[in-house]
Amino acid sequence: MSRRFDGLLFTIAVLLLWELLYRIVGSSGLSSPITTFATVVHLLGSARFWQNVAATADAFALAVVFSLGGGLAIGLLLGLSRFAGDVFDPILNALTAIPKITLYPVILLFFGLGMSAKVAFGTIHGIFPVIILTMNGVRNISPVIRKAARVMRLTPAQTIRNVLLPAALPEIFSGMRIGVSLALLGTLVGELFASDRGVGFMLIQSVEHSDVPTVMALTLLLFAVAVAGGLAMLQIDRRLRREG
Amino acid sequence: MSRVAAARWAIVLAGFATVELCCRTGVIGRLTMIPPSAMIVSALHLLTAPAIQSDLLFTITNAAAAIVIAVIAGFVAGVIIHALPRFRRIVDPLLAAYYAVPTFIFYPMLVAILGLNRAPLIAIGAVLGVVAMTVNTLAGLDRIPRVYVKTAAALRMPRVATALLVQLPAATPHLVTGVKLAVSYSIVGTIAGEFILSVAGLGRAMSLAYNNLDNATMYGLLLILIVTVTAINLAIYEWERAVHRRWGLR
Amino acid sequence: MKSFGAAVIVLVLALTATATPARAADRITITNYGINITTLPWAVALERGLFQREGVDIDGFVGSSGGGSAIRNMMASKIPFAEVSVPAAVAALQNGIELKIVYGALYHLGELSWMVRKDSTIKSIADLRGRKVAYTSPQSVTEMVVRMVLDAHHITSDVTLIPAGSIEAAHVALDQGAVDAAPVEIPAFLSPPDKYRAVFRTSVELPAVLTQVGVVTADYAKAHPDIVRKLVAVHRDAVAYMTAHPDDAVRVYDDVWSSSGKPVDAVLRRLLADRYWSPGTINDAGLATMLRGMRLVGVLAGPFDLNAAIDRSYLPADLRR
Repeated sequence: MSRRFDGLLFTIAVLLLWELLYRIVGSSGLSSPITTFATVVHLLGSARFWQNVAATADAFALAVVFSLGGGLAIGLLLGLSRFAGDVFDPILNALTAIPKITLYPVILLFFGLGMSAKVAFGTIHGIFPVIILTMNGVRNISPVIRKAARVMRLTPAQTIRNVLLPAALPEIFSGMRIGVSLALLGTLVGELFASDRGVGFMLIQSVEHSDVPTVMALTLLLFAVAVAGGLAMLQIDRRLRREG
Repeated sequence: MSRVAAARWAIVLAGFATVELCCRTGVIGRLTMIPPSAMIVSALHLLTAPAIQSDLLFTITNAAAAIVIAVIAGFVAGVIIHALPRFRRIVDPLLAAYYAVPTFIFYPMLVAILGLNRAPLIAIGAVLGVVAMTVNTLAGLDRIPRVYVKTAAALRMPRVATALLVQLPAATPHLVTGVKLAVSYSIVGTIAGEFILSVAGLGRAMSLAYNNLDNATMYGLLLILIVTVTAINLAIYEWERAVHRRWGLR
Repeated sequence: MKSFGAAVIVLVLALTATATPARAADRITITNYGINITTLPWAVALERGLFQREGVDIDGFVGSSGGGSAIRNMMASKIPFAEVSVPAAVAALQNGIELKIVYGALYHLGELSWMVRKDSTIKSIADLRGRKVAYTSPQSVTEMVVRMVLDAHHITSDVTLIPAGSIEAAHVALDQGAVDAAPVEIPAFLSPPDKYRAVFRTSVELPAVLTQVGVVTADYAKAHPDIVRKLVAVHRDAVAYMTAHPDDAVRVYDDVWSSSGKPVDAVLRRLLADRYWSPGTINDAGLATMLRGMRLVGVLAGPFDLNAAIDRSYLPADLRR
């Protein structure tokens, strides 16, 4: 019975901590929970806000599809072949560590200005954790399980679907959850470079004006969207595990 | 040289050659990118410049501090969250969502708390890496077969001893993955931080070169960054291989 | 699993089907559009149909976060016309990009001031001796400005100049007492406003500084001089409109900037009264000061003649001097 209130207790604890931090840091660095929530309400009622959301949402959705789909496919391939995985592991990690904003001129060259550049940006941010964690998940599967699949003469497709994916599911989903969040961040960062609309644009507007309440309100909303996405994926994860 | 290393070199060289060709034939213009051969020349030249050397030192020391904090804090957080399943149910969805937050918005707050020095930069790097470490610590601890812990309990091992002698080694393969990611994210966080809190460091030098359309410097620095990070990752990778061999995953 | 895969495919199809259609009109690049108040004339031009009035088909802007991006965005656009910072224009020229500078955007630095805490003992610039004064980043405009101002009062060597990293960090540093004075772009927008006061206003200390100019590639100017002339005319019309209808300009600002309750009206009227925006005139004195500042902080080294790139022929006749 008390479990139901866990979420509530946690939220209250976070709010109290936030308020305390606000009292310590001051209004130049943070805004109080009340001010932030009031600003959230104000934003949700503003037409311009929703126009900006629409501008970002399209690009973000596509970036997610490419990051998760592409990342899963590549990660599986690299995980299945020990040799390929060994070769690419350090390369992938090196690519993760590069601040992707430095690749902006290249993205601009190949994708031009506009939506495809935003999607590309979101994808190059989101795809790497999916690849790396999927690959590691598959590689970490005990050799016994893979041998068993071979003994049972499963086809590659059957092996992947019925053995490998379920076995590596926790890691794959960890990667996907991080991938979705990073794809969102990447789309926003893409907007910082060449946009006159979008949530990332709104964010940089308020940062430049030291409009701390709006900065925090937008961050809270972004976080909420990412959490919702993560929760949706946890649901899918749970359902898949039940089926598998 | 092993087959793996040879294959890696082949891929890297093939990539270099393709880009070199594109740049030299004009497919990629000078304003967008300089040929990789020019990048190497620029990188070597930059390494001899005292200003860049001090920038590099600044970033490397910041990143190192960030990595240490991220790995330790991430591991501790993972252990604590794993031990409190009710807390974990709440926190789990929040952990991955954290990566969507553009952390540069917290700079003013970090400057307010930590002061006008390099601490905010280290903090941002650490904070970006800590979640990767936590998520992987949790995955690793999840993977420990229950029988190990039950055996330890049956043998009446104290909790701390169980944690250090049974759980930690068993979770190590996943912990190493966590360290790998924590390293990458801490480095990218530290450097991205220098783009925004732009006072010194490799990130600042890159951002300055970018704004001055000085592609030679920017790509030279990028090359230095890639090589350094790859070297670090190779070292961790070799460590991971040793661990996997020990645990029979190879 | 199958249904999951099917769902993904359906989602992708749905998204691509509803994707925004290719834009019919073009966009020009305006640095920090919708972020800096300097870009308000262009917002007014867009929102009040001034482009259509001049017969140019522009329906939006490519914003950018800074000089390097602005130049790259401009070069990637169909109409390579942009409003950029003078350092960005200089960097482009030095890298072999053939640009023409066709209008000047501003006369001075507007409301940019160095603020101190209300209870500070600093009452004038001379009082800054022995104190810590912040600027944003090394080689930024704020470093240029603060050095020029302190040099003019001969106290630079007695002041500790500290790069805070960004304008927000400088503000926090001031708040926490880590520095004694920090730059603020529009003091009236600080909250709470009575916590600080200005020790000097840049528009008083440096009455003429040209920071932003309009540029176009030489090739495009040669091929489409009429479009360039029209775009410069739109800028002039926009500044004239703002001067004549300040209330409407405030409305545009509120809309595009989502300003939620800031005292924009008073600030805007002051800026207009102070002749912040240039209708297009390229102010030579302002440009000279800017270049002097750039040399001072090491952005510009060696001989460089900007005049070769300036082309006033696209300005209306009365603004050419």
